[in-house]
Amino acid sequence: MLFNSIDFAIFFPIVFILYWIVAKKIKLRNFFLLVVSYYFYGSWDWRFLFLIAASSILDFYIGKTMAKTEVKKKRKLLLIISLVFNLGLLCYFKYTNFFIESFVNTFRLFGSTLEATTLQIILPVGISFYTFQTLSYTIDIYRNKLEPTKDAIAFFAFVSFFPQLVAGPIERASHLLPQFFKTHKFNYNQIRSGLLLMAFGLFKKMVIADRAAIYVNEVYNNVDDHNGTSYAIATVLFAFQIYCDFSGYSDIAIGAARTMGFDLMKNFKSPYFAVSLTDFWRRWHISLSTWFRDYVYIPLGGSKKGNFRTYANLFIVFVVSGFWHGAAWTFIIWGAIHGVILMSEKALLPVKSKIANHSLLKQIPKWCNVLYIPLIFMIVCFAWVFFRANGVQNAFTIISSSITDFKISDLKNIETYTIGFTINEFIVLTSFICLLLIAEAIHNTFGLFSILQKQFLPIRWTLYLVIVMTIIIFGVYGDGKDAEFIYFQF
Amino acid sequence: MKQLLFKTVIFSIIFLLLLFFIDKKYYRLKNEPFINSVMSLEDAPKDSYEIVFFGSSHLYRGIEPAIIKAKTGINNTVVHGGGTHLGNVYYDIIESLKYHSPKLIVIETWPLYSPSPINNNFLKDGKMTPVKASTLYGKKPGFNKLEQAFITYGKETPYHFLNTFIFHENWKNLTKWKKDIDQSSKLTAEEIYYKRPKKYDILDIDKVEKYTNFKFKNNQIYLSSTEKTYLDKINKLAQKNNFSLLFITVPVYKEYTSQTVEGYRRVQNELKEYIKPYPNMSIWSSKITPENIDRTYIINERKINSNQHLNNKGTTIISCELADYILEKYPQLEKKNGSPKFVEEFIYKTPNQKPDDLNSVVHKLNYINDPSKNDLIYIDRSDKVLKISGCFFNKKIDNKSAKKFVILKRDDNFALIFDRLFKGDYTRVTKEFGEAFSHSTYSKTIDLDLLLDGNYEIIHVLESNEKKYFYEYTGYKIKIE
Repeated sequence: MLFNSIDFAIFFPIVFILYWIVAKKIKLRNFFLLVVSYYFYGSWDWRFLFLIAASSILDFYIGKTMAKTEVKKKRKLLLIISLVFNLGLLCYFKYTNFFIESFVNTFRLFGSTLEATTLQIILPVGISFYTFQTLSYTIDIYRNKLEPTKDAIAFFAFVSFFPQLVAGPIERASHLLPQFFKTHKFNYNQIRSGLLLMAFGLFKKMVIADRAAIYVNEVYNNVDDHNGTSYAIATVLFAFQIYCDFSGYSDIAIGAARTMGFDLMKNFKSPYFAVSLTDFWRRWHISLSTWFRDYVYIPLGGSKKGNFRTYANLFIVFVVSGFWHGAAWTFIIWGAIHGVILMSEKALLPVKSKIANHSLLKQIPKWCNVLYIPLIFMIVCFAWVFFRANGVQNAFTIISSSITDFKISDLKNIETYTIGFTINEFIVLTSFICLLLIAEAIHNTFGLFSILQKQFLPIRWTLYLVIVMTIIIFGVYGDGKDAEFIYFQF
Repeated sequence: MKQLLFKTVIFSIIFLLLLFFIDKKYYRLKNEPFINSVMSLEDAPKDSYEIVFFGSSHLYRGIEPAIIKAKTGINNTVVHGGGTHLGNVYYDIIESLKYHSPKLIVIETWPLYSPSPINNNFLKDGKMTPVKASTLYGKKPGFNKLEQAFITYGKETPYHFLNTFIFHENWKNLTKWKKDIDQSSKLTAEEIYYKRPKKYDILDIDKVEKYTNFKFKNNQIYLSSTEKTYLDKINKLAQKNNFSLLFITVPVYKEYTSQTVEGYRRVQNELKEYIKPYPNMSIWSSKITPENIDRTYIINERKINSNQHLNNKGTTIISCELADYILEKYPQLEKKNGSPKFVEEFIYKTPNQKPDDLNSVVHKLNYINDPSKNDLIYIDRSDKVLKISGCFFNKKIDNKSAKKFVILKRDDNFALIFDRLFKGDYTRVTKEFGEAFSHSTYSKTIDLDLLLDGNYEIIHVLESNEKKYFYEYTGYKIKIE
């Protein structure tokens, strides 16, 4: 069930009303949330429910057993069982075919041929997200940072909580689980801001991401048919497509949870306003980057074991992050690019602060940092090519053509902008992207929602109507696969 | 909670009002013939149509409501959907009853004769096939539209219930959208429909051969149980609303008919059997035998299939014949006089008044095949084409924007109206007659296969921007033999 579907438009209001009817009775409310979340997830494929249930049951009992024992070895064993089971499922469903194919290709490199058939495996939607969420629970108990819950229903509801089940934000048990034990009071302002956030998320997804996808898919899926200018435009549009697609999902998830009194963590913070790549990762997919920081980077030693280990840890984390995104070399390269640039940034940090401390440069106002924004955006776009391309070869073709075949004269040609759609679509799309960036800049400085809340009711309602009508008129409705959120595949 | 509920209700009402307003003004447009034909029901004054025709594209191309009106004086309209089935026709009839109290409902029977499995089994597991529900988008949002949308699209009903959703991307072609909005606000659906371009092309010789070699199947042509169910439903509507039902069949190309005669007879017999107990139901068949519907009656469409449409030669003959039948069979239908609105009303003998500006057109006929320009010009069929050129204008109107028609009238059962005239060179004419004659010239080449044997009068008609008509018999006659 997609957030941008008629099913969800029927499902959510019913759930919302019933939720607030049962909200006062915590156990009943949690049971209700569990049922609707399983219904939500089962609407993709009911067989997926067995996986999430198995994962939840195992981690619930591992958590309980772990808390009962002080024996370190036993606790470690329990943690390993949880890790093996959860990561094993993830690996089987997500990476089996990748490993088979890579194995065969490696043999081919050395001149041998190996016959191997890939398996017909359906990737369960959101498995990467809920696996990480449930792992954080057992790891935190192992680290004695969290008390295990005795309430199975609450735990199951936490793992399967439908707003963030299939594409995050990846919540920590320490943040989300306690909310299942609190009474949620009906708060008009909270509900209103939740609904507004949902509308904003739908706007990003339907008006920007899905419109940009038309151009991007046309170019990236037919690499031989286009020129360097089109590749460059498609890559920039992809940057906004993936941002609006994923942050749009997060907004809807956070908004939906908020209308029911739950507070989910912020997942994006205007990433394209980042002034360094480190800054970018503080703003992009925050729930994942902090997860990797807490459960991979720090256990590897973080930055406390010397420069070499710091750089190596950074690189490992980003390669793993790339691999988490998808079972393909393009994602691994994407992660590696980010890793390498972050390593460079870290290495250059002392030099940079020395230069910055120079008396002349000290006089330059801080806001001049914004000059870095286009540079960082270009670096991010460069990496996005690998993320989006259908294969490493295609990615290199796109990058080399974007550099060698980029012609200013093509920018004057209307055909450059009408690949897959009309010029009106291109104008509308770019206008909405500009509007989004302006809105984010205002939001970051003044807080858009608080400005809005202070307005006279007719102004607020007019704005709400404009947002809804914009989604209806300028949104891409699509159906089935075309309308899916990109991050569902991860 | 109360505050949220109250505000939600008020906001929802405002939102729905806005949505319905936008839907009516910018998305339910009279741009597509199938939408426009349904909208003609809502557009016309209440209870103004005595006859409403329902059917598919065969009806759209086969029956000219302007001829029916001109020959009978009875207000009528046509509701058609491309390849529609009887299920949609049922909902279209209900829609017509919301606005009018027709005494006669005419159903064109192609949906029954169509060999398409979609037409025979359009209802499966309580769901109608969504393939041919085009008339849905001409309907005003209401219970009837909701029911049809729901039975057709199930959970996707909201998407199909309001045109704003289904046509939400109209902005992608702003020029067309603006033109459609303008046309919709300026013209009535009836005007757009009655004045739609007439088709005068003829089936190509090479396609004739392809038709001869194509094998059409008989076994799919039958009256299915689903169709019978909907015939029953329509019959119930007829009993309840006291209207007569007439089934008509617009002829199709003879090659198709000859191959599928078995299936045709099967449906015809079943239909005859079905209507027997009901005195309010009749079947009309054209006097033209199927083997006479040769290529000159058929539009030159790209595909070779069972779905052939009549050109305006065929349409004119069938419409004239049907009009005479209706006059005779249903004398009780109300005939309305009023100022003529369509060219057809000047050509056929009608109870309508003629305009005051009769003979007000200044004309000059320059050339009709034979340059001798006798009063009766003989045209031999070996000429293949009739070339005609001339000029006509009226001093009182803006001739540049006026619409021009050249009509070849044989008798009250056959007259062809040509509206897409080639603008001729007017320098010589203006030299001779003055500047007023600029924009008055025309030339037209007409395939002689479109014309039946006989004597024709040539009539010039001008339609001003103000929708006033000026016409004149030129006095020239041609004889085709």
